[in-house]
Formats: sequence, C-alpha cells, structure tokens
Amino acid sequence: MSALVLGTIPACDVSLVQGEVHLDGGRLSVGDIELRAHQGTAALLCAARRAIQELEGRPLYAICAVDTGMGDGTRLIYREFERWLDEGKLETFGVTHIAFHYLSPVMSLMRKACETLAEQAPHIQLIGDAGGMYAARAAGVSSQFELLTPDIGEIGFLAEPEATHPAYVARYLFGQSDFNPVELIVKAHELGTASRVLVVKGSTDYVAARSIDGKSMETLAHIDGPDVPALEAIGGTGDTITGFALGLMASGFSTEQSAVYALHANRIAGKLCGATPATQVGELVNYFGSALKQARIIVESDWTDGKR
Amino acid sequence: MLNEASNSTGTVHTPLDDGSLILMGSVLRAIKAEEVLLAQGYEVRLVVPPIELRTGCDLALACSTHVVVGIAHALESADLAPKQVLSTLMGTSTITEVVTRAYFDIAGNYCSSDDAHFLMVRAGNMKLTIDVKSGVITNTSGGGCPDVPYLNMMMIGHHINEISRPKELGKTLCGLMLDKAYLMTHEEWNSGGATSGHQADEVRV
Repeated sequence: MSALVLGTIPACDVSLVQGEVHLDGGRLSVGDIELRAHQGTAALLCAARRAIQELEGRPLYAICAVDTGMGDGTRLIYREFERWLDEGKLETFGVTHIAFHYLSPVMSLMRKACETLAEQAPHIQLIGDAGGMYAARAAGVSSQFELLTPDIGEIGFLAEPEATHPAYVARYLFGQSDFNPVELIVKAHELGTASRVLVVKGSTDYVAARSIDGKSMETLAHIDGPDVPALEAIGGTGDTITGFALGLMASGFSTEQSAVYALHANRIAGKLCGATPATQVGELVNYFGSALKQARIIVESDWTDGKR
Repeated sequence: MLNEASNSTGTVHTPLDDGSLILMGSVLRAIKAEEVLLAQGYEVRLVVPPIELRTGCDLALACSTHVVVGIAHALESADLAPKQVLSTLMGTSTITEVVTRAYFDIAGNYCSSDDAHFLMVRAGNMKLTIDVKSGVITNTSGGGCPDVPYLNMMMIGHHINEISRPKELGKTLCGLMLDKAYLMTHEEWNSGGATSGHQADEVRV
C-alpha cells in the first residue's frame, strides 16, 4: 500500500523531479532533490509524508515538474505518469492511492489518465484537490474519485451545472446570504460531480459520503474546533488537509476516518503554531507530528463512541 | 461552436475540448501572434474560425482556456491585442464578481476594521491578505492552477503598491481572480479604508 502524488511546483533547479518523498525535520525532498516546503504540492507532500511517518506506513512517491501557469510542467507530469504506467511502476511500488494536485486543468489529459487507470488499475483510489479537482470536475470524471477536497470557495463549482472553473461560478458563491455548504454537497451529488467522499474546508469543515446504494449524500461530520480563523488566509493550509488525508488513507484508515482525522490535525497544527495571517505554511510543518498525535486521541474517542 | 474549427491547411480538427478561440482581426496578425506565443512556450495552433464568426479571410488561434489570461497578456505586451477571445467556458457564464473582505487582529482572530492588523480579501476561490499597518502582503491562498504557488512566492513580503498585478504575473483564471482581490486590497489600502470605518462585508467590483 503506497501513494503517488502528481503535482506542479513553482520553482526548482531541474524541470522534473520524481521518486520517493522524504521529510527530514522540515526538509522535504523528492528523489534526491530538495524542495521548499511551500504552498501547493510541496505542502501536501509534507503533510502526507508526516502522516505516513507517524503511522509507520509505506513509502510516498511523487512526480513533480516546474510550472508557473503555462501548462508545460503539467504536460511533463502526465507524460511521465504514462511512462510509469507503461513500465508497470505503479504495480512495482504497490501504489493504491493517487492524488492529482496542482495541475493545469486540462480536461483531455485528466480524462485520458482516468480512462487508463480504470482499465489498468481500477483498484487505485483517486484523490483530487486544486487543479486536479478542477480538471476532474470539468472533464466529467469527478464522480470516479474517492475523495475531493474543495474549500468553501470551490464547493459551488462542484454544485453549479455550467461551471467548469471556480472563476465562472455564478450562483453558489461564498459570501452570499443563502450560501449553504451542506446543501451544495447534496447538489453536487445530484449533479453527479461529487466524489464518494467530500471534504469541504472552511471555518466549519464538513465531511460527507455517498450512501451505500449511491442514491444520496450524507453529511457525516462537521468540525469547527479548535477555531483558528487565520488558517483561511494562509496559503497551503488546504493542501495540508488533503496531504494528511492521503497519508492516512495510504496507511490503512478508511477515507471517512482519514478525512475527519486530517481536519482535526490541521486545526491543531494551526493552534500549536499560534498561526496568524502572516504565518507561512512551512512554519506549520514542525507541529504536524504533535498535531497528528493529539488528533488521533480525539478521533479514536469519537470512533469508540460510535461516531465515524 | 469550436467543434467546427479547422486548421489552416483545411484538415478538420477536433479542437481542444477545453478550448478557447482568439480572434486577431487579420490573418497577418494571427500569424504574428502564433509566432510570439510559440516562442514563449504556449501550445497554440492556427485554425479557421467557425463559420458564424468568419468575416472573410480569417485565421484565429486555438488554445486551452486555462492559459487564456497569460496569452492575452503576452499578446498585449507584443502590441498584438486580441480582437476577441471566445471560450467554451466563457460562453456559459461570466467571471465571478463577488468580492468579500475580512479583518483579523494581530493574534489572527476575526475583528472589526477598527481593531484590524490584517485585511483578507476574497475573490471567488482566491484570497489576498495584507498587514494593514505596513501594506505588506503576508499571504495569498486558495486556487488550484499552477501559477497559484508561483504568485504566492512572488507576492509575499512585497508592498501592495510595489508589486506587479497578479494578472501580469500569472497566466490563468486563478491569477485573474487573485487580480480582483488585489484590486480591492489596493483600493482599500490607498484610500485608508483598510484601517478605518469598514465592517467585513460583501462588495462587487
């Protein structure tokens, strides 16, 4: 059981990095290339790797390329991913979870990747966040995903029929008086854009899952503490939630459990760090271990009490 | 609409399914635009526009919609401003225009503007935060396109008045949304509104 992350990075000495992910203290590396623990894919990798370390799980792998918005790095990643598929690397590395993260939302590339995975490795669970989620939604394959992690500025994008990028959301906008994340989760399910499990990240976080018969979407949990308002302002704190969830899923937790565990851990890390709107996500990394330990106590107590 | 596009050699293409069409107004300008964009690494191709958009001897550029913002900026910089940009996405709705703001005290708790140490402006899926005492950008967050971490890296630590606009630094729709947040923040800072008199609310730009 192991996880693979596909995501772009804003800067690096080489255009493509790939291989096993390591986190030594606050130092992140992919293969033998060190990456700055920055907003985006790097923040996700830090959280995922730390969660896996905490649970003594299997290795974490990544394919990353430099992309500043042109889409060149994104294409490089998809090409390399194809090579991994052709060479049977997913099987060799025991990959069971793949996260599509900061990628240009190119629908054709996402559709092709999902079609290939459905044919060659249907057991692999897909996680989508950021551009990976945008591409999945726009390409009409988001319901194949096990987990998507929109924030409150993005859940309307999953719920609105015509929107193919969050910039085009017209109806379900955070900030409007009738904005209701729980209703939008149901709308996304009815529209066929929701993953099996959805995490909506905000001042209150929500976890929802498709019913066993697939006919409805039930909100399983909402989490609003500890309250750390500054997390919304800090770039990368949504990425770390997705990273924690990925690491936990790849360590054997159910997706629902991973989602709740991840949301608690992220909030606790913010609290331990004393986060303000001037805090950078890299500063949170040192608190991930303690946060995961504290969050585990909370979620195991909830599960003992019969909550999911 | 874009499904009817064909390339300049007459071969019918299946266009990019998330495609945009950039109308340049003349064949010569379209060819020059292609040269400029290919030289900068953009994936574009010359196509004949759909019949309802043709004006005579026409040639347009097809590209992926997520790079339209960057392409428009690159063409404007090369004195080749597009005549019109058409998108399969843009045809269905308009860019989100609701912008909201929130204030934080020095400890990071929500507060009124009177007690604010930080102002965060949200535009759709993007957020920009400044220290209202100094005008320095402390964070950008939200979004998912690859220029988002790049913009974060380029903007944090710089004064709101001393940084290029996100739509000039970025190349995607997320960059465009961050530009909306930037404009509101810039206006608030320069009017003194970031430090007095406002409550967190919703505005339209």
